[in-house]
Amino acid sequence: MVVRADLASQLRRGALEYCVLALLTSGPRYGFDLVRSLGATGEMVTGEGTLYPLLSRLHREGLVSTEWRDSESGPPRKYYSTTPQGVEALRSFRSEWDRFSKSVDAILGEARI
Amino acid sequence: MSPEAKRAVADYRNQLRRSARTLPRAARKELLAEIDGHINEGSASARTDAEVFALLEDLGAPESIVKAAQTSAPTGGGRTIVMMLLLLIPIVPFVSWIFGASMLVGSRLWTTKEKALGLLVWPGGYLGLAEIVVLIRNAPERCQSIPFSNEGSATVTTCVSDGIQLHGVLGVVAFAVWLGAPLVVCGYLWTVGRRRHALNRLSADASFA
Repeated sequence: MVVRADLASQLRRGALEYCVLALLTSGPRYGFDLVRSLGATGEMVTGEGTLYPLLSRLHREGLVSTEWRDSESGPPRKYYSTTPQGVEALRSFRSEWDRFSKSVDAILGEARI
Repeated sequence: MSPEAKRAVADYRNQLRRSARTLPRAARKELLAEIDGHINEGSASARTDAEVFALLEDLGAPESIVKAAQTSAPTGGGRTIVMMLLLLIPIVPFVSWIFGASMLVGSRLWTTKEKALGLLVWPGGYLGLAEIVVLIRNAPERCQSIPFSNEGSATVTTCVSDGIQLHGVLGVVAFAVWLGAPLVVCGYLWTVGRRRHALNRLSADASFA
């Protein structure tokens, strides 16, 4: 039997990088802003710092691109945007997720608990 | 920021730097710059000490950040290809192989047995193979002519060689094994390495929990 904390971690595991890609569809965002947004949802991350290695991996895999832009209030900021591959990966995940969640919901809906 | 909050930030940064020593140089520099930027950005807009402490708490333990960076750092892919090329092709005789071998031994992707396999098959990579080929080709033959009989000038010539001589099917098979074995071993290490690399990535994402 999986304990509850592990269950949340397992559910989060596959979805987190797509949540990052989804947040970027509305436009480029800088690291701090992106990380704080994900952290603010409460469910997705417990240590915001661990998101930076994830962003770095997404960049290496070509799913996001980065660009340094000047900031009015301090040093330049690194902005992240999705690449066409990132958008494509998100699209595949979304259709897979829709089917998966509908199946689980249907089964859970019939459960008598 | 009060001196207490400043000390908390300095302690956090020091702890992160200490933990990050295990990371490859490029990954370490990138991670430290990202986290420093995050702290600077967050503390600039913090109005109270409590907000600074919350910022550090939300970042999570430095050890867990380093752990996530360790497992998602590039350990497969290009690095593995470079290692295999160094093992296989003597760009600089022996020196290339030594670099490739130390990359193999230093990697966390393979078990001790797999590392031994990678090192034992053709130490020196194709340089070792090339030496064997040269040895076969240059096998000097010593020939001796012995008179066939006491009468006439007929002689029998017998030749012996100190080198290795391989002929026909046996030679072709041996050559194919020499050529193929390093490729098979490298192919095996590549497959196993890629699989573990993917697993590492999954467990890296698991540490977000």
